Amino acid sequence: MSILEVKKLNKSFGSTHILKDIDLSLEKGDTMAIIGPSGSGKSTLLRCINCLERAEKGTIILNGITIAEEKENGMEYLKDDELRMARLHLGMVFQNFNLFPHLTVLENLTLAPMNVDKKSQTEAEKTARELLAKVGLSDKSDSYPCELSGGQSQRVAIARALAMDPDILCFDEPTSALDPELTGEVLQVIKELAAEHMTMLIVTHEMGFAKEVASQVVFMDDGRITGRGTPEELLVNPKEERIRAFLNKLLSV
Amino acid sequence: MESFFRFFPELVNGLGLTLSLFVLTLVCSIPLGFLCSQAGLSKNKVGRGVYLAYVTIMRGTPLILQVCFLYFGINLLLTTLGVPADVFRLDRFVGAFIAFVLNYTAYFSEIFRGGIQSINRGQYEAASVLGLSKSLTMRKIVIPQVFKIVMPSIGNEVINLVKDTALVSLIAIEDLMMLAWSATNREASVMPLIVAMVFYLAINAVVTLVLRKIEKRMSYYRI
Repeated sequence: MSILEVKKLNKSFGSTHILKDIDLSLEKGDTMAIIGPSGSGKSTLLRCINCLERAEKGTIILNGITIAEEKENGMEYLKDDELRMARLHLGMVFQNFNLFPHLTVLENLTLAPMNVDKKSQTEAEKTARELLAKVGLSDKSDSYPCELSGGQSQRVAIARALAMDPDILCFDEPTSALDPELTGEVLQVIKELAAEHMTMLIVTHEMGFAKEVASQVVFMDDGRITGRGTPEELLVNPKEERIRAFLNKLLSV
Repeated sequence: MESFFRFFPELVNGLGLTLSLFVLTLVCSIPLGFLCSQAGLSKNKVGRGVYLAYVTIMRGTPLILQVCFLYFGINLLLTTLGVPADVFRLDRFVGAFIAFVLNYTAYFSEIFRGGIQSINRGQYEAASVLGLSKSLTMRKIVIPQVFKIVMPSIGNEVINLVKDTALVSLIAIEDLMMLAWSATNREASVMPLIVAMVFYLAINAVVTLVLRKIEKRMSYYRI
């Protein structure tokens, strides 16, 4: 059974139709890269799956729990508290990190486990330190986010998402806000997670990275999924003209 | 010198009254200001409308007028309603205190509203994907950051408040200003005014010092 299933998802902002009948399913252990030109709806799709945006039509099933489905009078989401708990299966890493600036790195990692999962401080800190070691930032546990580089911030953000032990980790252009020389350290962490078969959904512009790390690639254009397959099928020898044009444009820069 | 020993104890008494009005107003209006800012930020149109009207009146009219209006207005109303003067009349100090709290709550709530609105949407999103409830997000993420953001503006208002307390002398409350002025007239000397000036300056020196300390304690991070 799929760990995430999205059916006929539609989303508009005002009169702009952003997502058009999106179907998507993710198996446990998959790493899916979502690529496509800007404005094609990649980030909106991720934000709808995360319920940061509410879609208007369609169904979202996460870990067997229907968190949103289409009813006669529109889309019906779970009640606030149920939705909050169901969403914990999804971790999220933002483009702009969104670390909590008033908390230390360690506190950023322990806040949710202690307050939402009601873990003890000792337990939460133990997990947090393990995760910081995993992303190579053991020495930064007492630093504040303003003292970190972009790459370090993003690695902390990944560790913070992992601290809630999500089933799926979503990335919204995790390296877009970084200086080019800092993207490597973040991509390395994501690669390691992929090697451990962490289920991931990654919106990215890094084609080389998508090729290397993804088990599946989805190409979005103008609010629709217009191509899907393995990285080889989609990125090495794309059949669709639109994807070829998109890739050529990226390469010609 | 003889006159100094006459008016100085009076001024110390006045200082006591000024300080109590200052502290009481501050202690009440900062938390109330935070609560009111929630009305200003709410999705409820009625709540927002009432908030806007309240803030507009409080910030748009002189504080001294509000003090007079509240004190005389309420007592006049009591008279009109036929409540005998020996049964209940609003005390001058209480009237002034209520007017000050109403006025400063309006200013503080606008400061908090601005502070809360300046928190990046990403902070709310990060909190929400981590499963934090609305109240947890407010307590653990928003309020600590808002506090740092609004501190300089709050500080300004606190210093203003120290000086604004002098307005109550107009409804014959024997505060520092009132007593200094009457001593000046009685003794035909500016000395009482100078002493009062030193007292006000001293209060604000302490206030400034405390504010600096607080700002420094919150400077360990940048937003």
